[in-house]
Amino acid sequence: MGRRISENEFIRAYDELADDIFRFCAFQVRDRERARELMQDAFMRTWMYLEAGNEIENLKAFLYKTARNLSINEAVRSKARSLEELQENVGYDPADEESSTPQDAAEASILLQHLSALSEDAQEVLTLRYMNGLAVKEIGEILGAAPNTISVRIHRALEELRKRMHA
Amino acid sequence: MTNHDPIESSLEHLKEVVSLRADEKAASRETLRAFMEEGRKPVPSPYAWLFGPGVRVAATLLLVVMVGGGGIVSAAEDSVPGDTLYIVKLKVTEPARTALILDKEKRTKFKVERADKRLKEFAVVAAAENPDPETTALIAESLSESINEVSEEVATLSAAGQADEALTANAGLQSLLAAHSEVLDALEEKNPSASEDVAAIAASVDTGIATTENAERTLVEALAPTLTTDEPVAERAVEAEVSISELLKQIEAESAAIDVTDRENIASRLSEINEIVAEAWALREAGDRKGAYLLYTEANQRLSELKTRVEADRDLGIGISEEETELPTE
Repeated sequence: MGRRISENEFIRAYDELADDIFRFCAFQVRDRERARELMQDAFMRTWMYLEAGNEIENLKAFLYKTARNLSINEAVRSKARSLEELQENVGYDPADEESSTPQDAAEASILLQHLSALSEDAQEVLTLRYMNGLAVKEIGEILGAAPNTISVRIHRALEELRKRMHA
Repeated sequence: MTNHDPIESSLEHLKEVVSLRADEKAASRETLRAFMEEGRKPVPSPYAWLFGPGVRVAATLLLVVMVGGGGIVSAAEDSVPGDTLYIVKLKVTEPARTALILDKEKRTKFKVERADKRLKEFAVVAAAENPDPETTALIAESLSESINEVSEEVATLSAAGQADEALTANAGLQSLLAAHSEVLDALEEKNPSASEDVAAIAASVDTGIATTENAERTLVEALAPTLTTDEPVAERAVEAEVSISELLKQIEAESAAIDVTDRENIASRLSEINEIVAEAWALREAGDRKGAYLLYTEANQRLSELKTRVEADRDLGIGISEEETELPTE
């Protein structure tokens, strides 16, 4: 059963989820600026949907689904980009993280490169599970798959990443 | 979520690496808030009879979009004065599109183009018939909004120490308004019965020109310290070269439709622009970056103005005068 969402609630959802939705889009389109635009667009479109009198049962899942749909066309266009561009375009910025050491930064850089070499499906589940901290069930709802299927995808994606890291 | 597996922990750590900066998050939050606020504003709608009192155009449009009427948005964007969807374009689709542009320079450019579009739309109506007062008021309001918004963007760029970008944006708006001021004068002669409507739009244009002139004085003073490299000057120089080349191609392609007098007037204006470019080149060679930058900016202004006049002549048949509106110089 859906429910009405007030403006304040919606802004609170933005405060809570903007980073996660941005990160999700960034891995889809591999372009930081475009990811910001898509994140903002996802929130605006969701608000438009609510303004039209519709109700939403799970706002978080709805926002992710909207962002995912918006990112799909962009992602297709971005495929030609080299994997090395991911780090540059997504915008790893050491200045953002004052506490990180050069070693941390180097490790993050290597991990990002290996992650970007995985299939899009694998990147998607790892981003949602580990970086955005979603539960398997929530990921299943966003991607339209059973929790068991998602667990298997996560497991395989991790194995693939481990192999690449240790190769 | 805490993991002891090193790879899982590292993936969790990437969360901090790929994230929005605080200023980015705050800027998007403000845009979202403004968007939500815009949807609450009551807008007088030509469809009010259809949906009952109090129905907002924005909400109506969104509802239509949500039930599969995406074509309405496209139709609104293609609408012209007199169309029932014209008000939707001005009040909903264009502001929404503007809100989605995050890059300051692109957003400013879009707003200048929006002012240009409004003036061209008005010119088409005023050249052929008498615009209805509501349409004129709507266009004047949208035009003033665009001019004010560009001025605000110019002030923001200037405050951020980007005097060269601010000056370029200001010059873009100024040349546009100067060109349309000429077009409006010609329209008044062509269709005297539309003079009241032309005067209403001309008032907005004159106010805009005065605003850009005031801004220009401040920006010119702030310019020198920002020109620490030759790059901004080189950009303006390339812009001038490209604009001259494109304009020549355009004139060549449309030469059959341009009468002899207009052709002579175009040649005369182009000759003046070439002189300005030559002078700018000389100053650049002499190391006077500021002087060169200002002259290239003036050349670009004049080129933009001439382009608008050539297009107005083609679309409205109002001719091109020999003299152009005097642009302020340092």
